[in-house]
Amino acid sequence: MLNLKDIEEKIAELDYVTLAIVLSLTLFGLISIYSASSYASESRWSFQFIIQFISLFLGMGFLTVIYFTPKQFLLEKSWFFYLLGLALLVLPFFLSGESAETNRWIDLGFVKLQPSEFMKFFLIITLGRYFAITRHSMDSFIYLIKPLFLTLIPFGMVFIQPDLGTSLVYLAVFIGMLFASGIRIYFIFLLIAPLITIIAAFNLTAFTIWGIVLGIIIFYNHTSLFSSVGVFIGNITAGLITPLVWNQLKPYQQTRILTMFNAELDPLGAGYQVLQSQIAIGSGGLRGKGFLAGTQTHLRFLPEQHTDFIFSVIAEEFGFILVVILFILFFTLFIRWFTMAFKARDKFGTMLVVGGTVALLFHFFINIGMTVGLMPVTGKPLPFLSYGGSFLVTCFGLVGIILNGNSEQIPRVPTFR
Amino acid sequence: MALSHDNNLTPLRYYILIGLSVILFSILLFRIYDLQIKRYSDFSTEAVKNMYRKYNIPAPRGIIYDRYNRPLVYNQSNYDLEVYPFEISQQEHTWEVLSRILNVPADELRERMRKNMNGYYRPAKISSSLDYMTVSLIQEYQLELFGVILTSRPSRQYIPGINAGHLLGYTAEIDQRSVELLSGEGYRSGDYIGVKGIEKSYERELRGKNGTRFVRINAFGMDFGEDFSKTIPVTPGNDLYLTINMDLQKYVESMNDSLPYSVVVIDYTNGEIHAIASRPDFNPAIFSGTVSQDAWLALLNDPAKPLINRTVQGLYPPGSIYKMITAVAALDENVISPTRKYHCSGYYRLGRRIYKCWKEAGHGSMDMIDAIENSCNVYFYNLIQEVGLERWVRYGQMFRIGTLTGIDIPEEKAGNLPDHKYLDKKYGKNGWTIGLLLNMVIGQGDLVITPIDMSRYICALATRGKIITPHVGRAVFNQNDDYLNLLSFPEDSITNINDRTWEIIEKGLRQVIVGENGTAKVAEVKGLKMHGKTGTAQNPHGEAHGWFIGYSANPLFPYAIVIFVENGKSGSSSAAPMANKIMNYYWKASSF
Repeated sequence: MLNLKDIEEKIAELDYVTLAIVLSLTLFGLISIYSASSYASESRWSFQFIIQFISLFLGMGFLTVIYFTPKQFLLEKSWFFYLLGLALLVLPFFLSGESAETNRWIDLGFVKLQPSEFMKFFLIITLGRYFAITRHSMDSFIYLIKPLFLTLIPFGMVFIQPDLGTSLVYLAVFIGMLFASGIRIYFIFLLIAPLITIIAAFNLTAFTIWGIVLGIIIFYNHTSLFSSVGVFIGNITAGLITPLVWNQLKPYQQTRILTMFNAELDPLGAGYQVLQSQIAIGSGGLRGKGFLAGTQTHLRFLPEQHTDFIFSVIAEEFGFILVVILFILFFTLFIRWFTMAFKARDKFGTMLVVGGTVALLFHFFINIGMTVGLMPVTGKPLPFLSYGGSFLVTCFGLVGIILNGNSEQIPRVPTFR
Repeated sequence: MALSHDNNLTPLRYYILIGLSVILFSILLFRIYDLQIKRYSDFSTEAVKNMYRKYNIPAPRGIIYDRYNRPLVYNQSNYDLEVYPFEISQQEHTWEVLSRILNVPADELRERMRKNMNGYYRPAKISSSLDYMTVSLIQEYQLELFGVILTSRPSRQYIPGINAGHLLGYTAEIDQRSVELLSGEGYRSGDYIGVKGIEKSYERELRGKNGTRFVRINAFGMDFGEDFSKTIPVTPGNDLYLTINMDLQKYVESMNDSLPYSVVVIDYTNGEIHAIASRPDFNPAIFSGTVSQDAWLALLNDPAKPLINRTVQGLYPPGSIYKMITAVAALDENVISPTRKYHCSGYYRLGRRIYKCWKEAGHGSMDMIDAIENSCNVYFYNLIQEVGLERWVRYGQMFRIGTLTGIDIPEEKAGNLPDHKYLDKKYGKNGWTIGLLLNMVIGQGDLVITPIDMSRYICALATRGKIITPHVGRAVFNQNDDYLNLLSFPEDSITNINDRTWEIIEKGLRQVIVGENGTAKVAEVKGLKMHGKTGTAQNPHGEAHGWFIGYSANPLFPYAIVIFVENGKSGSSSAAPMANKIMNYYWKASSF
């Protein structure tokens, strides 16, 4: 099925702009990691720098493999991938016991794998297949039942690892692809509504206003009276029960839930981390303090500086001008990818591009939002720039998925039995 | 069959996705712009603050010298122990080591840190004024004591044999409220500030300016060495030169241990105080370093009230020393002739009331000089009725009676010279009679003054009307300009009293010392031509207070003296002999 003609075609189609930007970002990430990890190392090249450097090549290899894998193959084998992904997610729970932290990793001795990273691809492929070939009408709610469950299973497994950040990536990917698949926006609203209900339930005024808004939106969407009333009553009931359930929880349980969403509530330090990160970014100014001259970085006031807070290192040492350049590069990537999705000639391709793009965009926003103190500390790294072998390889893989989705090959629909 | 060529991403949805991306990027970029460009200087300062740990270098206070440039108060190094809460929390076992060295339970030390804590990354004092043994032990175990530092602070040292607690005052660590109040003047928690006496009134001159050392650190508090280019050097406090004579001060403090007393020896030509004491007092040395609770309570609860500065704060009736005001008023206003005689039979009858003279047998017939010599009350009972309240008050005001002298020792209290308005207010418009005046003419009743007020009064009598400001500061040596700055104090004079009046007054004051019946014959010192007046102030709470005010008429020894003896029974028996001893001593000590 992999023939020379296909490969030649794909080489001709390759988007070199994407590749150039991604490579420059990664190289710039290497420079920053060199700076951020220079304290820890006796030698000139820190362990982190070397690992990242090797991962760059692994990532490019992975990108190549995924890019050249025919879409037809991905489409047909998506179920296999999905189940493989779930199996990998389950594995750490059996391999390690005591520490919750180790539930995230599969330790192969020389390298640690993070299965939740690989699940991102499998989920994108599986959801892509569903949206591309489903026979359900987009106007019926049944249309989204199956993909919802396909998402909720890995979401739940990663959530209890616990790794809230990654599980939210799955949710973002799902909603992004759902939107791009052409579903009525009302259905997306129905999915998000309960979340808003639960949050609004803690404030009577907010809850009342939300109730009215909810009623109006449901009324104007002309669904059947039965389902309208059902949705409305369901939401209100959930909202009324939420405070009762919340108050039943023990204080330490409440704290645990709150710190999961916002680590700054943890008195032992996340608030301090974000403050130090803001000081690092703010003190960088327009031009930055210069390479290897960031005081916040080199005196180690920045927490997790080569991973989650790499952006703070960059902003401190290179300043606002470089931040703007980075933003332009990232923005170019995302716009270019959404345009690819828009122009793609097959549904499956569109879905792959959207899934990959949303995953990377979500990471970008969550990470930078965290370093500047706009988002809670969820501990998500910054694509291409943060240190982390698994993560870098995943990011390259996602680029591979996006570029593959963009290719002209149009897979055939499998025959249904 | 191939999949349909049209995907479901409609242009509208495509633009929504683009729009969302633009919004997300804008939010982030705006925020970064806010942090990096708009609030750059704030964060820049924060980052620099992070980089350095600042060590305060306390400025040594100025040295206080006596009038012959002998130091009365100087400085010596004193060691305090401070800990960094963040660092010490990394190694709990440090507490145990400290506990063994200081001989204080670890929990108590932790409590002290919590009490003095000013932030997780700022030093908190846990012990002060360590002895030499402890200091060397701590230096020996320095490696085990992570986050513990010894800081040296100059502390006040005093000359043995002199208390002068009320004069010199003392310094103490500034309290939190004062830090907030005085933050504009650069006081910081942990600084020392003058609390009483000269230390307080000359605080601005004496305190100097603290310096700062900057030491580079990282997030874990690890020390990377000092940045000398940033050091802010210390400016020591200005030295203060007093008018006090150390030997005389020592002598006046040694007079009498049984009764509280107050002494001022003052140069009547310029107001320079050579010795000033309020006994019992306290030794300021006990406030150097940490004051033990017991020592403090002992002072506070002592029935003799050693913490009260009687000389500038004690309000007492002046007794007969105040009679001179009435005499000056009568002579100057030509109310009577100085030779006019009144008969004293031991008492004076006004209406149905009897006013007694101190001598029950009576003094017989007296003119003004006799009356001053004998301190005859009956003469003045008669005289005041001729003089009247208005003139009595006016002449009192000329001598500034009842106003603050402006002495450079803090917390001075003003006395009370009752006038018409005051009496109306206190007793009602018609509620008081001439009887009150009879009481006040002999220095009793509502009239109260401080001993320092009386020192200004006797100086005026000695100089025919010069109003000086009693003071103890003479000069300040400015460390910055390397310049000795002489202090000056306001002076004034009473010009409208004629010399004839002064001559009679002086004659009377001399007769007190040398007259046959003089009440202070004991106060004469050979060669000094002492003048003076005794006073015995009735005291409803106990024995009468004794007063003596006097001066030497010898131009080589132009000093006046005020003695007040609480419950001294009479001025002649308690105060005058004391004055004699002091003037005698000082005259001999300064004989050429």
